[in-house]
Parts: sequence; C-alpha cells; structure tokens
Amino acid sequence: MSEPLLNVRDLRVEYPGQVAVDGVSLHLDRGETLGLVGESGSGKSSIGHAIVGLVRPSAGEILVHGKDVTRIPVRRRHRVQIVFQDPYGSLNPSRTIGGTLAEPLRVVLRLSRREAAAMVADALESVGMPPDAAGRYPGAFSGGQRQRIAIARALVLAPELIVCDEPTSALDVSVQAQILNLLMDLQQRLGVAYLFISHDIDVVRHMAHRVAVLLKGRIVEQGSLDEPHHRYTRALLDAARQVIPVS
Amino acid sequence: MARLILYRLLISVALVFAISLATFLLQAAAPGDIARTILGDHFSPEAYQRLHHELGLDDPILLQYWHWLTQAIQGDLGTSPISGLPVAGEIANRLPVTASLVICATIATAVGGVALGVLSAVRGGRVGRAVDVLSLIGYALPSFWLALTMVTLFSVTVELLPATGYVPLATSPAGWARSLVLPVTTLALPGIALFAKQTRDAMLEALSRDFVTALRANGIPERSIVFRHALRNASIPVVTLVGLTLVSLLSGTVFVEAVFAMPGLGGLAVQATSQHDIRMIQGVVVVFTLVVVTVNLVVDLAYGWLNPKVRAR
Amino acid sequence: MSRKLAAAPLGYLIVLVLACVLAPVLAPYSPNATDLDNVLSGPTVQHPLGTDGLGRDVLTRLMYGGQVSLVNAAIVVLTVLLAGVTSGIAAGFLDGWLDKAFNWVVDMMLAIPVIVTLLVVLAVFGGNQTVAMISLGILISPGLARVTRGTTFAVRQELYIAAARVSGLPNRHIVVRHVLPRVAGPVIVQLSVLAGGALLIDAGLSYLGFGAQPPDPTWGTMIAEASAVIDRQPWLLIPPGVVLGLAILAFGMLGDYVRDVTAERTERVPARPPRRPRRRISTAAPTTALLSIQDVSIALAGTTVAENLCLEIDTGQTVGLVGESGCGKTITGRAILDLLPAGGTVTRGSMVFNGTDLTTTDLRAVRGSEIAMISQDPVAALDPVFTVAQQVGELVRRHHGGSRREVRARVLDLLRDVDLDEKVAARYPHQLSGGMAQRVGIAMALAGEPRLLIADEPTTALDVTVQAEVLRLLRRLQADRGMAILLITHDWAIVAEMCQRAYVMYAGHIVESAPVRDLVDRPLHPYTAGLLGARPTRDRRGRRLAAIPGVVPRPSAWPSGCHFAERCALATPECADPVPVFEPEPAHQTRCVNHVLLSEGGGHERTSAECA
Repeated sequence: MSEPLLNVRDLRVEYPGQVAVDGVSLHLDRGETLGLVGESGSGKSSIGHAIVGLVRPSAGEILVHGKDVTRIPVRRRHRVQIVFQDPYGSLNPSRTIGGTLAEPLRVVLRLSRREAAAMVADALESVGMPPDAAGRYPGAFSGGQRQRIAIARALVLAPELIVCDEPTSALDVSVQAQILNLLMDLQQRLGVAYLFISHDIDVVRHMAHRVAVLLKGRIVEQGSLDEPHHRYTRALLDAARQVIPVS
Repeated sequence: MARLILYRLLISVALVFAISLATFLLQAAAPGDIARTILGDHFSPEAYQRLHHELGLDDPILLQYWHWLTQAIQGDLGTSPISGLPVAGEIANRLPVTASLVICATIATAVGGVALGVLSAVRGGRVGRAVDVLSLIGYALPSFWLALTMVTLFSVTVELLPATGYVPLATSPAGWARSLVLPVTTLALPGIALFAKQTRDAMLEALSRDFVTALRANGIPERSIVFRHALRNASIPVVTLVGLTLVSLLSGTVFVEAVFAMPGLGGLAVQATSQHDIRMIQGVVVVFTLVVVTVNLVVDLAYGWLNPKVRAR
Repeated sequence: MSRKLAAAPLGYLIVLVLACVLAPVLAPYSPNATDLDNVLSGPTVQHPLGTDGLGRDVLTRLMYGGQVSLVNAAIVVLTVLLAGVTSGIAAGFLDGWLDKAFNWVVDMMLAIPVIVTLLVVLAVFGGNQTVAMISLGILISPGLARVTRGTTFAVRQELYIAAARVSGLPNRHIVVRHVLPRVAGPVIVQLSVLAGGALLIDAGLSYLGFGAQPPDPTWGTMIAEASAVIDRQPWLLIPPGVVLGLAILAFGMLGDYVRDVTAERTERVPARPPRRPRRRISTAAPTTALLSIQDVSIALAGTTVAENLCLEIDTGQTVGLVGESGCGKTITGRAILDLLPAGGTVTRGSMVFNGTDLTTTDLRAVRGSEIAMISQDPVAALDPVFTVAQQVGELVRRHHGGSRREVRARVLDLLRDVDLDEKVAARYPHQLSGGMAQRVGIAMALAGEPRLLIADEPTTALDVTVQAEVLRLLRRLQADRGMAILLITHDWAIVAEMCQRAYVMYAGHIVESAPVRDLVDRPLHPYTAGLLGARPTRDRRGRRLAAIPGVVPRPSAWPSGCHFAERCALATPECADPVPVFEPEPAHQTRCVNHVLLSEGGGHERTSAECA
C-alpha cells in the first residue's frame, strides 16, 4: 500500500493551561477531501495550524509523503498551504494583490519577476478573478472576492494539500455557494487534497468524502456520517435543522 | 490579582535595588572622588589618604555599596561629604514642600482632566475642540517658562499671589494655599491636558461599545449610561495614567521649585548637582523611586478593583 | 488634521533648523557682541527682537542657541530610536522569554524619576552634554519600546503574517517587508512627541545651569537671564519661550498628523444619544397590528440604506426579517427603537406601535417597557464591569422600582425564567459562556415586560447545540408571555422553525413576504429562490450549488428599479423601472415583475399599491 499524502498520528497540541488537541490521528489521500467538524474550542483549527506549521505540536507525528514535517522549518513545507476564515485579515492591506501573491515565488522559489507575474496571473484566472486584480489593493474587493484571492495565494505554490480553515464562515450564503463550487472545481482540475474545517456540519458533509467529528480535542467519529454512531454526532445533525428543500 | 501585586512588588524591589546600585557605580566611575572634592584644591597626600580611608573608599565598590545598603534599609542614607549633613535628615526636612506640591498637582490633574475629558466626550463639537487646543498648549508650553510668565503676571504686575517661597501648612493654612497656587497650576497643566485627552478617548470608546446600545434599547436613561456605565469602563485605562503622571510631576518639581524658590527635594537635587554632591542626589533619587513604586502599587490595586477581569485572576 | 494644516508645523521646523544651522551666515551680530548703548532695548529696527541685559542681540542669540538645543534633541531621538525600536521589535516578534524579560525591564524603567536620575549623571560627568542626552534617551526609551512591541505583536497576530509564514517566507523577510512598514507610523508619532519633550528637558536643564556654560547662548539660559531682569524688561521672556513652545507644538502637531494618516480605521462611531422628540407629522394610517411599518425609508449620513419598507407584526406573532449582510436588516431593527448610528434618520413613512407613531414620539417611554432588544454578540452586549445581578437589577429598578430585596427577588425570578442558575447572578460577563450571556441578555430584555422583542441574529455567535437551546427558550417565553418577536436572521432554518411570517430583504428593499411555509415551498422572488438553493443540503452532497453570481451592491451603488436585477437570471429590460409590489397569492407579496416564471403556470395575479 502506498503512503497516504498526509498521515497524522497521535497529534497533541497544548496551549498554556489547556490541551487543544489530544491524541488525534487521521489520514488523507491525494485528491481527497477530509472534513473536520466541531464546535468552537473543539481543537479543529489547532489541527490545521499544526499541519501547516503555525503551531508546534507537543507530541505526535505529522507525516507528509511518509516524512515527519514537525521538525522541518515552516519555510520548506510550502506544498501544504492554508486558507483562513477571515478574508479581511488574511491579506496585507498595504500591498497589492500581485505583490502578495508573487512574494513567495520570488523569495522562496527565486523565480524571475516575469515568471512570477505569469504564475500569479494563472492563479488569479483559475479562481475567476480578472487579471487586473493583481495591481489593486485588498480594500477594493468584497469578502467573497478576497476569499478567492486567498485561495489563489494558496494555489500559486502548487500545493498538494490545502487546509481550508472555515473558509466560508465569514461569508453570506450566496457567496459561500460560489466559493464551495470553486473549491470543488479546483479539486477536479488540479487533484489537490483538502482538509476542510468547519463548524457547519452540512457544509462539511457537502464538501467532504469522509468526515471526522471533533469533541474537546478528540475525534469521536470518522466516516461518511450517513449512519451516525456517536451521540454527539447525532446531536450536531439534529441541531443543524434542515429547511424543506425547494421542490 | 495576587499575581499582579506580587509581580509589581518584585519589580519595585528590583528597581530600587538597581537604581541605587547604578548611582553607586556611576559615582565610582566618576572622574575625581569624594575625598578630593571635600579637600578642595590644596591638600597633602597624607590627609587625602586618611580621608579616603575614613570614608571607606579603600573598600571594593560592591562592599561600599553593601555598607550603604544595610544602613539605607535602616533609614540612614549616609552623610553628605559636602555639607556634612545627614542625607535622610535633609530629605525629611524638605519632603513636606515637595509632597504638598505633588499631591495637590496630582489631584488637580486627575480631577480637572477627567472632568474636561468627560465633558468633551459627551458634548463633543466646540467643547471637544477646546479641549484639543488646551491639550496642545499644555503639552507645548515649557513649564518653567510658563511659571516665569505667571510670576510676571500675577506677582510682579498685579501682586495678587506670592512670587516665590513656601509657607508651611502648620504656620498658616491660607498662606500655604496661596503659596501653592502658582506652582501647582504650572505643574498640573500639562497633565490635565493629557488626562482630558485620554479620558475623552476612553469615554468615546466605551460609548461606542455594543452594551451601550443594548442598555439604551432596554430603557436605561442616558445619565446612567454616561456616568455609571461609560465612565466606570473608561476609568480602567485612565487610572493607569496616574502612575506615569506622577513620574513626570516629580520631574517637574525640579524646575518648578527652582523657579518659585521653594525649599523642596527638587531644589535640593539641583543644588546637590551643582556641588557634585552625589550622595545627596542619590538619596533624593531613592526617595523619589520609592514614592513612584508605592503609588504604582496603589494604582495596580485600583486597577484590579475597577477591572473584574484582572480581579478574578 | 488636513494636509494643508500639517504644512505649517513642518514649515516652521524647517525654517528653524535652517536659521540655526546658517546662524554664522544669517545672524546680524556675533552672539556675544555687546551693545552697551542699547541694553534691554525691547524690539527696535536695529535689534528686531531686542537686546538683553548686556546689550546682546536676542535674535542672534536665539539662532546660535538653537544649534545646541537641536543637536541635543537629535541625540536623544537617535538614542531612543536605537534602544526603543530594536528592543521593541525583537520582543514583539520573537516572543518567549525575551518578551518576558523585556516587559520586566520596561515596567521597571517606567517607574524611574527621569530628571532627578539625569541630575546624578550630570553631577558625575560634570555637565557633559552628550553623555547626559544619551542617558536621557535611554531613560525615556521604554515608552517607545512598549509602543513598538505592542504594534509588532499586533502585526504578528495578523492572518496575513501567518499566511506569509506558511508560504515559506523567512522571518527576516517578514520583519522587513511586513512588520517594519506597519511599525513605522506609530514610531514616527512617538519620536515626534519625544523630540518636543527632549527640547523641553534640554531647555530646562540649561535653565538650571546644567547646559552650555555662559557666555554661549542656549534657549534655556536665555530664559534664565530673562528671569533675572523680569521686573525691568519682561519682553525678554517672550522670544525664547515662543520659539521653544512653537517648536514643541510643531513636533506634537506633526505627530498627530502622522497618527491620523497611518492609524487603522477603527470605524468606532459612538452611538448617537437619544434625540429630543422629533417634530414630524405622523403619516400613520389606522391599523390593528401591534407594530405596523408603512413606507419607511432610512438614511445613514445622507445615503438611503433602506426604502419603502412595509412590515406588520401582530400581538404574540413571530415575524422573520431575512437576508444577507449589508441588506439593511439590522438598521431596520435599530430604526424602530431610534437607535440608528450617528447621522442616521428615518426619512419617511410611519411606524405605528400600539396606536402611537414611533417616528414622532419620545422613545424613552417605549424602550424596554414596550419594545426591547437582544443583539448578536451576547457577551459584548453586557457591561463588562458589572455583575449579572447589578445589570439586570438596574433594569428591574428602572421599570418597576421597589426595595433592594424586591429587586433582588425579581432578578432571581428573571434568571430562573431563562433557565439560569442563581449562582450566575454574582458573575461578571467574562465569566459567562456565549449561551449564558445571551440568556442574561434575554432576562434583561424581559425586565420591562415588553410586548415586542427585536432579536437581531440572537444565535449567530453561538454553537449549533447552544443555538437550539436558546431558540427553544425564546419560543417558550413567547408562548408564556404572549410577546411578539421580530427575528432578524440570515438563517432559513431558524426562520422555518420559529416564524409564522417572514420578510425577505435585499439591498434595502423588502423583496418578498409571505407565511413561512409558502415562502419556503413556493418562493416568488428570484432572490429568495436563490438563497434557498444556495444552501448545501443533505440529499445533494458533492454537487454544484446554485450560487447567485456577484455580490450585494453597496447602498450608494444601487441600480435603478429592481436592486437584484444585475444578479438575476430572470432579469428583463423592464426590471430597470421601479418595480411595484405584486400579490399573486393571498398574503404573499413579491417585488418582482417576472414572478410568474417562478410560480409554475402562473396563477391569478393582482398588482397592488406601493404597500399591500
């Protein structure tokens, strides 16, 4: 059996005075979406942040292609990228979109200005943004457009895995649908894998092939959730009431 | 809360220790030594040796510091080699003057500043701009220059208030008050401006919070919103200013006492500086530091009392 | 401060620096040349700023004196810059033990009495100016260091810094390209203020005689010399004082200007205090509804943000107001209680509550006792410095009065009504979970026994399981008390569960209203249909969602006619004309000319007036 793209074993993340993630194991194959659902404080964001290297786990392994990345400095892990919840804070307001997107290409991959500009244009096009967006500042865009730009920033480094940390929670329903559609299109076209984190169990189930349910830093159930076993999963599903769909 | 107080205590002790040690080391590093200063220009080597030994200057510097420190803890800050007077006694004599000045100025600053700040936050518009202008003036006018101008205006021209000097409270309360009007005004003006500005900002911040809308929506009258809720919330950042203000007020006494010829600690420090009487200034520095540190402790207690989030910790 | 106004202080400082630097060329006299025929002359043609007690030209001495003062101020500023900024950035960015040690040192240094300590230095080094100024710089650097650390720390928390790290950028690059530019603004502000302070202290020290020694002039010694002849020629105080004061003022104003330019827009506009009863003539028509909003338009700072609103709530009914953010739902709720932000007004229409028009009455008698409100962020809606009992108690006292005991008993009753334990009464807001805080908010709203509760996204900030509990509570309270609820939300599931009737709002218009069942089963406006279709549902997993293209337009960019037209698949040219309200089914109204296309086969149709 080949190595999975991402394999997390017994991950533990601690902050002063609290354990955020307590012995979580999960795996993810190429081109797959794993959903991570839980309420606030369940540790779902901490898992995502540990995988991209923004927090240091206190125990456990994070294997990408079988290699433990917890000891590798963040700057050599760029094949795993992240999209954050807040589309307003995640772009530097005083730099142009093109500048922000080209920065890692120029500094980390040491590409020429021309090459970088071409890749930025490609990335913007693939998220449905006009090419002239590169010359403008984040302030000129709406929340949904900024989230597209944030996705383009993740894409520009050609990642194999994107951690989507509540990518649509700050957006309105109609815009959320646009972003969810975009993420699904990109997966089909590029074969990128997603770790899709959300508090909204319907959104997660819509997006993910498999779902892991998180409660107080532990995974209580993992699978398709068609037949929920754990009491907490059923409570989540019941609480997220359904509107009768349009006939 | 307990942790905050403990932290403040630790820092205070460390600071008093560090600042006395620093002044001591500076003294050792200084060109020329005390023995030479005392003896003046003409002296015999024997006399120098004898005095050097008597003053304990033969000992290593850290040992000298240790001697000074053990005595200082018992309230003896040494003797001035210049005047021959005990430092602690001299400071005790002059303390009431500086204390009167600083306490009155602190009260004037806090009360005047907070009142102006609340007024400008609630009324806005012209009052707000007036406070802005006042705070710029208060900030920009050199206090000793302002003092001199006020002396010219109120003492030389109109002879309304005494130009210089200090009348002890015990001698004549009215005279004491009259002698303090000009110096306290001079000292307090920049602080009033600062307090007014900070209070206004804190009030506006508090008034823009969600809970104010919620209180209004549920029928709480405006008076209670401003004076009970907003002011109470605004007082949390403002109270921390008291400690910082005190530091600058103490610094201000150095200039103000000089202008008004008041026999206080600031004047003592200036006089000692011109005489290179380091022992004496060192005493003043240590006393000033103790005052600041104590007031900071009180401010922290008040801060914790006002802010439930801190109190709970 | 405007750019023009900022030019004045900058210009003054430039002139000042040039005059001092070029003093040997420009000054009319030598600084120490005495003119004994013209002692204490006051301003004359020969001596524009007069002469001092030795007949020396004041203007000349001001120019030469400024050299010393400006160099000293520059030394202080440089020292502060080096000591404060580097330590602040290091502490803020690297965190950990370094940050702890930094805070220790700063807290300590902020308690040092600066001037007296400086006097020690002066005494030891015999008035060496450079050493004194460097010491001064170090002594006052903790203030700047703390500001720098705070800003750096805040920038470090920004998501875009996290994103930069994940994309592999090294720390060095992040500090230089992302942190420094953000820190520069606050640092310049502080330095500018400190430069003024340094001038002041420098002048003070030389006034006391610890500066450059006579006969060389400094601003401080000039003031000291003036004070000696204060009774003979008070004029002499003016030139050095004004030059110095203006310099300090200029630095301060420059600092303010830079702060205004670089400050992040906090958007914190304090809510407007209640106005006097508004002198408007009520246009209300008689109604049987508890609250009847007729043809209301609302403007914020002159821009219309909601128009033509018609909405009715009957006693004991729950009515939903649904839509996305920026559509005007919250503003509408606020307008009912006259709680619009500064610059907001109801520009037309009437809001009749229980027989009186709210737009023409003083709302103080209505708020809390007739209409109450709960809001989206439950913890922020409570005053952080008072306990739950104090806050609920104040409202109980306000609405019912009574002794301390009666108030206390009533508070506990209210807490029990919202399923909170008695122990909660003694807690502060920060000790409450979101769900508990919202229950307290509900208890506070109930204190005046209102007949209508405006609930603005009451559960949006809560976890789903807590959400369900709070909604259950609201339903129970409503059944017990016969209270009507205006429920403002973006969540269709909540509308379907809670409301009898719902109004859909889009870009300031109510575009559709109907009994909830009809609305969800047979939406007759393409926006409603689009919103319902955009939600992921359990039986269509993994398939593309029916997204509405584009975004909600800003109030200043509303199209004429139908506001939804440019995002609408059904749009036709007539959508650019003002759209009337149609009532294709009883009690089901829509503001869409093409609604027939949505209702499968049409059905009978009736055009109604502006408001049905």
